[in-house]
Amino acid sequence: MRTPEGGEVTQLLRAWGNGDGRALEKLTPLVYEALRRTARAHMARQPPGHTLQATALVNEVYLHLVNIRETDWQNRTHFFAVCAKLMRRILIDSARRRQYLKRGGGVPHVELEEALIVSGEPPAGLLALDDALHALAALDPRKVQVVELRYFGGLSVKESAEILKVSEETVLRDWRLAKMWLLKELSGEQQHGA
Amino acid sequence: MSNNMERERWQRLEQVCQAALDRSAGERLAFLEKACAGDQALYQEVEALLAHEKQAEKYLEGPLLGLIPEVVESDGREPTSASREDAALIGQAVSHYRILEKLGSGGMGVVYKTQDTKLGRDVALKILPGAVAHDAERMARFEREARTLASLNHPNIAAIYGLEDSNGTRALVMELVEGPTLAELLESRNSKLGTGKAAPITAPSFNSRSSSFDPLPIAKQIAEALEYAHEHGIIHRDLKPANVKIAREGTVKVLDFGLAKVLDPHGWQAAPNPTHPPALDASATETGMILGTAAYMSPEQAKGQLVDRRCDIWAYGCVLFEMISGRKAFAGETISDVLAAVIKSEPDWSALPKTTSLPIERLIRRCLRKDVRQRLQAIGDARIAIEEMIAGGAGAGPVLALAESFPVRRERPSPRRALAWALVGLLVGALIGSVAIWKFAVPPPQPSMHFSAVTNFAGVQAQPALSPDGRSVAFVSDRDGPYEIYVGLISGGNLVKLTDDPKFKARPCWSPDGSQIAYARLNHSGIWDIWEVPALGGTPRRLILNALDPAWSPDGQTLAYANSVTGALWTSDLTGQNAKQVAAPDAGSRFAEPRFSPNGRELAFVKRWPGPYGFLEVTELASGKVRQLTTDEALALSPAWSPDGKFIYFAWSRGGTVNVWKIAAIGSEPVQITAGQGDDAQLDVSAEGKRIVFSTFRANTRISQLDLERKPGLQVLKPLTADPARSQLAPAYSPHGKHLAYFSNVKGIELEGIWLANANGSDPVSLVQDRRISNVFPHWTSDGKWLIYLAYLQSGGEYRRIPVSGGVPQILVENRNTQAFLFDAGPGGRLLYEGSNHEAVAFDPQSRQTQNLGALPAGEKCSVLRFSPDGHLVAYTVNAGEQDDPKAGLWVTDFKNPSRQVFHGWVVWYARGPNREIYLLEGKPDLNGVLWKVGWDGKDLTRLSWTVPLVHSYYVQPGQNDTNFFDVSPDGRHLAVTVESVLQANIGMIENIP
Repeated sequence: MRTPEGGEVTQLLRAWGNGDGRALEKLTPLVYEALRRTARAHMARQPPGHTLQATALVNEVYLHLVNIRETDWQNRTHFFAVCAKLMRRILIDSARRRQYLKRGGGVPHVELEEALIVSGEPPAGLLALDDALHALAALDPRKVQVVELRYFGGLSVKESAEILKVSEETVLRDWRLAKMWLLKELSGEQQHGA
Repeated sequence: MSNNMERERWQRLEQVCQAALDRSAGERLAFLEKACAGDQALYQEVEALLAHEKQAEKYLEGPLLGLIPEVVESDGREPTSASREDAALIGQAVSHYRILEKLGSGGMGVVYKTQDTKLGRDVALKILPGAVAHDAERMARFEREARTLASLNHPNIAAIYGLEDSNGTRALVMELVEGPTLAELLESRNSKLGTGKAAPITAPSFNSRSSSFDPLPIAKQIAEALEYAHEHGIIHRDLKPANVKIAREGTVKVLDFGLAKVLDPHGWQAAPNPTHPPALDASATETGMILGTAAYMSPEQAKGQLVDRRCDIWAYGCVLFEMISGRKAFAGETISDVLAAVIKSEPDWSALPKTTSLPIERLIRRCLRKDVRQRLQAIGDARIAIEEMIAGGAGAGPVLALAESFPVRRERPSPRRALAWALVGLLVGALIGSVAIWKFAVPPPQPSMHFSAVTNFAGVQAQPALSPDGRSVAFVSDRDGPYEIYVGLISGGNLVKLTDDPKFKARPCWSPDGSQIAYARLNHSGIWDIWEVPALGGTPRRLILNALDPAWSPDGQTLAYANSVTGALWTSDLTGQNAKQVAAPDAGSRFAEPRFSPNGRELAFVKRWPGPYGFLEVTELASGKVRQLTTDEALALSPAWSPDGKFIYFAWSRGGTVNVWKIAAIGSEPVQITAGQGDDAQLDVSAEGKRIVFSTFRANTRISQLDLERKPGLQVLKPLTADPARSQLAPAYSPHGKHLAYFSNVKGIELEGIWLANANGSDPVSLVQDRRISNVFPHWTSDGKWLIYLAYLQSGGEYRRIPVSGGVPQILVENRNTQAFLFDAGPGGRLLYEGSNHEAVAFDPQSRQTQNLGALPAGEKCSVLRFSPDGHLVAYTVNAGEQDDPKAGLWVTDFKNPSRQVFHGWVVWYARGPNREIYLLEGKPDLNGVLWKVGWDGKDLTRLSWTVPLVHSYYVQPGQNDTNFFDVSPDGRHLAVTVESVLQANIGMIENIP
């Protein structure tokens, strides 16, 4: 199941790992497309009621895209860092579309692709989370990264620490505080809305 | 507000918030008031954040999202056809399982034949319905149950190997059983005979030995499977011909044990709702499945009542009826018809062939009694009846009297015990408040040694003790903050917290009847007491004062333990009466961790020496004879006997890290069993001797700095040393305060040395490195040119000195006291230490003369001797000899006048401050040590606001003065203190131990 761009992705990951910033720009659309394609494939073969977790999706894309023999764990963590960001983007985009369609009066015909990736969270909750993350980014970008890696990327504390080059304890502390801050922010929004 | 201001504000907010989170709830308010003094806005912001602490624990922790195809299908599109789905999956991989073909489907998921590409075997993969796989709570419940099911190991039960959830779908990995189901066999039999489904089938074709379909051996094997499962507390709940596979050579495999319970969408506890029997709602779309299930459903199940093993007996009767008669016992056009028949009607007994033997018919009739109390009570009785019929020539054999057919089985668990375990089950189920998912331990297919993690949490999960039946494990954990005793099923599930108080606890151990757990608890005097708590939960009560490391004798009448003060081994009855000293240690050593041999005649234990040394020894209780099993200068810990009493498993540091070893109880060359990174210690062996549980530790200390000038509330211990792979301890500031000396080792193993660093911990250099002996406790000479330290030898200690600039160490003086190896270097470089005869000795390096300053109080545990700044006075600590010992504390003497007690209580460590004051750390049983300041004359006793977490790693016992070594900087601004840097432990299990 190796895709033609597999070699390219491996190369780009390596280049990025070696500090080539442009590699990330080239990498992003490839991974984005692979994530969507893999999700679609799952769609076709899952019996009703089955869902696919983000981590599983990312894992599978990784296995398809990257030549494991030619890569090392650092590439792997880099890759997951990219995926985490992309997952957030894909989810938020999808939630926006769903939200939009809802406001437009029901969901008559959701395109397969449009409905592909939906969160267990209701779209409104997801969008609010995204907004809150934007607000948090202004104060403390690393905490947002931690949330992206942990939540959207499904990465462990250890993996997140490796990517962010901080201690696991720092990740844990960031994670804990970020969640508290987000909850505070989100509960505030609800109050304003009510 | 500018961006920068906002960020600064945020940083401040975060700082206060994190610091508050590091404190216990009780301390927070005071802390916040101090930290936010005057800044009301900050206070409110922090409060608003902290308000979400509890909620945040679970927030964003669940699975992020899923692809939910229903969204598309509910839009009126054609559902993907089943064949297309299957086709799409064939050849795909789920984790390392390659899907080969579809085997079947039902409400409990689709089953595929797959190849396990890792182990190179074919397995069955049951992909769970999405409704289960994506309901976190149900999945958790399912995982718990699956672990129990995975523990079933019987030739007639299709094994569950594990749960795969790494690749999008959640699937159960099961033993692949090739062959038709009993349902298929019955169907083909019916059609071959051309009699149609409902027609009776004549007995001979079934009873014939030559036939591939012989109901009695099948019935016997089903009964054996049920019997085994029932003995393990598992009910099938959905026994039917479709769940019985007939593999090659007629081996029966019963499938889907217990799955009905966990896959039932309404949970495992059937709601008492007769109109909607829970199992019927399982998949309302799959009518066939429901009909199939309903026909074998017991009346109590059909009524939605709670069920027990007797529902399996009913279903067994239905299957037996169908095998013999060729007809379903209860049938109907619709589910309601079927259920009505189950509840009201009798089966058509005339459908049984006339040749059916009487015992078989009676057995079926007994199984199909609607009143559960009148029904056959134990499936083992059916097994016996069928075995007798097979032995007697099946239906053609003699008609057996019923009394003979159903003999009372002898080996039953005592009712009390059975009740106890039922209660444990209830408790475990009820305490949802402390839900934790244990890592899934998959039993191995072949009996090679197999490691698995029993716990996989942050923090400490340690000192596991297996219950007598091997199903549960008691352990200590700080998962909720304080160290508490927990009990959980080894196969996973909820944890039951048995204790609830902040005091440090250790070493739980089960009474032989499994009803009680004894453990040790630290009291405020720094002494341990042995407590007992019912294993099902209840009020703890104190059993033995001043004792630790409890061990129960095999008959449950005697406890062995170590005296918390003297380290001697004692036995007594459970009330502390009839106490007898079994063995007293040599001066300087302590006995620890006694364990009764299985015959109760011997005790294995560890003889601990100061530092990381300990020997494994065994004493014969009758004669008092002691034999030493290990001789290495290494640390031996936690002996555990094999059930036959021939071997002792223990933890040992030979080679560097602590691992599990095995040695013959009469002595032999030890055999290493585990190897790896962490320290494997604190083990326990299961009653059948096949499994070991142990805790794997990562524990190290480092030196941190406490800023004595900063506001107490904001005090955070700042690490000065940074190598988490080693321990750094016993810091000493140079006279000018610019440098720190300390010693370092790898987890208390041989290789030890003295290090030198800047006062902020930077640029550490190794000054003394010795691979053979421990070089510990550096002290500076007052000119700052030398370091004096102890070279620790088995025969005692040697004080040596080395130029700070490096060079060759010189021997100053020998101290043959093996008990007290700590020392002080006072004015003029004079050494102070305790001599072999309990006297204070001063050594002058210039004259090379020793001087006996005077005797230390006899009969008291004195230690940590220190000169006063002018060298005229000597301070020493006295450890409590019993709880609330008035003598415990810090004393000062000039050896002429009576000693003066300047502090009363449990002193962990103390040091000279720069201005004729003493800084001391008082121990607390909740491990939050309190700092005090006191004058040498006992005046101006001041409690400082800082607390220091007490070192308590597994080879250090709180209550001894060798833990939080600290020193005060010469300018009085800092404290360099030894604290734990890493302390993690989880419980592992080894199965099939050699």
